[in-house]
Amino acid sequence: MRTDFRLLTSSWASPRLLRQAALFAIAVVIAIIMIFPLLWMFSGALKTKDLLLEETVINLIPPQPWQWRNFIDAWTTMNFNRFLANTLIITATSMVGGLLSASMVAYGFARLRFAGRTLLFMVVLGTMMVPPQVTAIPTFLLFHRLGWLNTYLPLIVPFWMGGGAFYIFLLRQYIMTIPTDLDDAAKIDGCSPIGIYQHVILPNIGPALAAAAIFLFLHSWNDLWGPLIYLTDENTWTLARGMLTFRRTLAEAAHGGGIAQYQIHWFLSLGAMTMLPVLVIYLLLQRHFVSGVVTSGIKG
Amino acid sequence: MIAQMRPNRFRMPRGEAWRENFYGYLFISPWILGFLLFLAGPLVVSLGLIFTEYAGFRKITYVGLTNIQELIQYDLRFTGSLRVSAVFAFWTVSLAIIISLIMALLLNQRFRGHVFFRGVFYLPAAVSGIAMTFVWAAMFEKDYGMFNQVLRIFDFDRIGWLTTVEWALPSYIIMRLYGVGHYMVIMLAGLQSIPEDLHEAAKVDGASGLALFRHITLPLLSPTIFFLMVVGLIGSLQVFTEGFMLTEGGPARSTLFYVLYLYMVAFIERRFGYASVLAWLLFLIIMGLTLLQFWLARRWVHYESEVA
Repeated sequence: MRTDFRLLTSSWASPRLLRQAALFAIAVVIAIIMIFPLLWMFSGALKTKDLLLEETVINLIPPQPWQWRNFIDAWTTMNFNRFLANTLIITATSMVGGLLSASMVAYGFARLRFAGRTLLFMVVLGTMMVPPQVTAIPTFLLFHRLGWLNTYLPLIVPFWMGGGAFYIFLLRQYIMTIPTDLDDAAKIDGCSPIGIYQHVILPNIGPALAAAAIFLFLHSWNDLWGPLIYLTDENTWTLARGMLTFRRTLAEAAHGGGIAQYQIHWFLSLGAMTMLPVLVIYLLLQRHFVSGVVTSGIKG
Repeated sequence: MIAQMRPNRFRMPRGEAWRENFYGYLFISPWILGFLLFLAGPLVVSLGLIFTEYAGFRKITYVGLTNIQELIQYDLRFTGSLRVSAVFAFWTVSLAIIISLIMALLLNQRFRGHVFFRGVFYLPAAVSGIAMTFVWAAMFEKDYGMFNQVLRIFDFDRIGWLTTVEWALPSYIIMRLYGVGHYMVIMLAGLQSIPEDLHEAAKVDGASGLALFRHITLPLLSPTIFFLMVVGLIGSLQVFTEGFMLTEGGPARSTLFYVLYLYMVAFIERRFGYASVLAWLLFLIIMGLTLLQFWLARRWVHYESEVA
């Protein structure tokens, strides 16, 4: 990050101070707009339904007593424990597979000079243009034939096969920045490419792996399309799939039985609970979060 | 001696070349397998499905160009969904680019606390996903939702955000714009890659702030803007989760996004042949957009290398 020397050298004349104050004020306004919905959610999750309907001022600090039971009530409307376990299994195994296979493939493209490398890498980049919806039907038929519907496999196995062009690209770009001297030294010591991958590349691509891990996590955590197509048995549902039905049944109840049925405070507590892991990861790993976006562009 | 230790870049010994080929293909083999099984194969199969009627389990019927004919001549839901997606993509991308540019310009001023504000501005983009979509359902709710709560405080009438034809699509645009942080981060990276000395030189020549922006910042930022346009358009054409979670295309198909319609034809109506036409059309649109934008880019995008 560059230092603004003009700030240090020029005297703090009032126009400059005024400018700083104005910029700061604009930033504060934008920040409030950005953060308000989240505060509304977290505070609302602790309010009673009646309060949400009646309050004439939005209390961002919910009045006592805080309704902690909203969290339990919402969580127990469906088998969310099971959904959480399913989501964690799918997310963890996809992440491991994605990181392992994508880093291997990326290493191959970055370092090994095999015939047809340039062409194949162009194919990798080209596959980013193919929307997943185009391949969805044949892939569904394939998994159906294999008898994999209502198992975790359709949501995991593709990640073990390169993880997707996005992750290969991300990791390859990072591997390219590691000096080849390290590889050469390992080679002289008698390391095969497998050894180099294991002892030189993997230990040195931590930040890129972190960025890829975040995106892999977010993908599995947020995916609705996959679970919707492959998981019809409620026992295999993920959180996202469960929340869809939660939303549907409650929205229908609202239409049928009037607003009294609409349990909005449950929406907020369930939303808060499922957002919490994402929020924690963002706060802890913000640097990797943003660097991944910048190196490889926005996703969908 | 040195030549033996460092393999020659242009001519490798035969054994060495074989070794590199072997290990190269070994390492990329997961991708090759995945490419054949989950990309190339399915792509060919779905191309074939275009000419068939197929419900997945019973027999498959060859119907020639009937599917394509139906799509062009009779399918009002198709033309409607195309229009919904186009309107949505246009407004989302253009507004997101303008807003993110303003936010990035602000953060690029490096006033006190700009790093903190960058983190806050990006926060909604970071948490966007299934949980946030869920919360949007609550925020747009007519009686309890945040938006109508705010309107109520200022004594305005309630709005049926997701339940009226005129407000449903704008609601989605608002929802997407909340995640403008994605655009902002890339826009900011683009701004920071502009060499400081260019601005300094122009200032010495007496350029005003606006002239500076118009003649230096904007041209040098155009590759970034162009990139955001392409990626943003492609992303907004593929909206699914929000649409399926919140409105399922309603009211009166006013939010029937293209991919939502594709999903319904394929996995609810089980018309795999007809859905394949829709899928391939989406593929062609996205490919066409990418190529068109690349072609346009060569005409108006100003890359930095041309300056040097």
